[in-house]
Amino acid sequence: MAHVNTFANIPINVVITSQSSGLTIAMTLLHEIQAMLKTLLDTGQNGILDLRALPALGEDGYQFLKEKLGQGEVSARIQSFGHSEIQETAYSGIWWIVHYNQDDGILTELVEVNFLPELLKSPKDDVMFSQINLSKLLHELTIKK
Amino acid sequence: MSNLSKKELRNCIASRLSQHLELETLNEISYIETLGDRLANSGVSRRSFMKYCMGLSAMMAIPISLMPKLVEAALLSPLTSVVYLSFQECTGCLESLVNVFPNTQFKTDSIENILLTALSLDYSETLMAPSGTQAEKSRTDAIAKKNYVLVVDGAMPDDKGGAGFFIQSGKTGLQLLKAAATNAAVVVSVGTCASFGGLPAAKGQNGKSPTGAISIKAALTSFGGIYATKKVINVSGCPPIAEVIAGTLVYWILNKKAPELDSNLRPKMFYGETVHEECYRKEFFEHGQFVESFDDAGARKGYCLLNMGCKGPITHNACTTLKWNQGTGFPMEAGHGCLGCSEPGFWDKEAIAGQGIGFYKPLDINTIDD
Ligand code: SF4
Ligand code: SF4
Repeated sequence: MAHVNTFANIPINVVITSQSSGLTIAMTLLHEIQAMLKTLLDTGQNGILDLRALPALGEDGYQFLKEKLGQGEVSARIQSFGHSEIQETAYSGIWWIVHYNQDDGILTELVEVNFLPELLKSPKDDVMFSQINLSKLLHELTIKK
Repeated sequence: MSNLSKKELRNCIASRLSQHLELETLNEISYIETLGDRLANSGVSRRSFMKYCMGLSAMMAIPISLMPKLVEAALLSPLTSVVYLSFQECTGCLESLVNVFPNTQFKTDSIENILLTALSLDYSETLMAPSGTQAEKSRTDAIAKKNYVLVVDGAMPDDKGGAGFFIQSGKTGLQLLKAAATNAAVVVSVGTCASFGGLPAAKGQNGKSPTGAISIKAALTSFGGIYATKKVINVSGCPPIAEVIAGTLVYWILNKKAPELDSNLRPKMFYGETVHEECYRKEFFEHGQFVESFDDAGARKGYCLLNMGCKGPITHNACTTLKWNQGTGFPMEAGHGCLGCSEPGFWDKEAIAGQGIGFYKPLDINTIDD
């Protein structure tokens, strides 16, 4: 299917039209995200914004931010103690992440600036454990044969 | 993941530790269980634990970008041992804490249960299975170790004269507290009784607490020496909100230090503001629209409860932000004012000096700075 551009995923220059404090905060956040992108490119260091720590953002600021960042190509779902939804925004390297608990209540909502969200990468310890477990499986399978 | 042997886990952790020059390498002979071991043994993936901590980061005022590093270091550190002692208390605080694990009878894999996995609860009279001499032994063993977190609920009867208000296996409460505090890294006083004396310290007819109850901090100070300088965190409230108790413990697990405290030794992240500051009835307060009796027209319209004795403006707690019962609501939403339960002396406090004690006695509006 052809990719349909909507207002939300065209990278446009935002001009503030409202006096709402939520929108002002959302604008500040966009500038902050912009600075995080620069840091990511210059140093490889990721950046995370915790939207729950910003109650003053309000519903209007939240909607504004979400709409302006839009949706990109990648979406992922993590199933661990309740699910997590990860969505790339229309801006490559900017990810919108929502963690839920088992009752589908939102635990936290983040914007992460990274090449790949930290939580999508398999943690090193878990990889070491699977190396051991897989070799056990191979051992069992060899004995059975 | 959970089918790894202890030895395999040990080797994994040892090799990970060797990559972290700033962390101490483990002594191969003495087996110290790390948080990482414990989570892996319980089938909790690193990713799940990270998700849990990220969920709490806003509440604990830890910048979320610091979280991955803190979690990494915590995973490689020894499991935090908790010794839980109860003195003059009603068990409401522990009731509140176990409420942080909702629906446990249906969902043992709930994310909130991660806290139970992430701690080693080595002694708690109410929750543990052993009793009698076996229980005594668990306590002796637990407090012989070092750097555990001593959680205390209940006030301490100050019966140095031996009045016998709290005796357990032939020892007074003061003796038990002193022994348990010796090797503790930090003492967490859970509830207003432990923090400030609470109900047991309320004045009787002769103007004194019948049992001479004092706070845990006051008891430690009376021992002098290392006890007087022991780090104490007061998690007040009657009872404290479950997430506040849990958040204080998780903060310790991640940072190995106490959060910033206010002048009453309460974590500022939870007690920094009064419940009045975030109360949804504040607009009515500002417009001078008050409930004058519990069934009047103002009560039905949800006016401010100040004149019904609400102590919200002088009470520091997280009720209106974190809310109660897994975020369901808080007292003013149910139409009742704040009793001021998280403040020192709340049972005996006079709303206006000389006007007598009472939860329904209103504060003087002129003394409320807003
Ligand atoms: S006085 Fe009580 S009811 Fe009124 S706004 Fe403050 S906290 Fe809410
Ligand atoms: S509203 Fe007031 S009395 Fe009620 S729990 Fe909160 S601090 Fe305590």
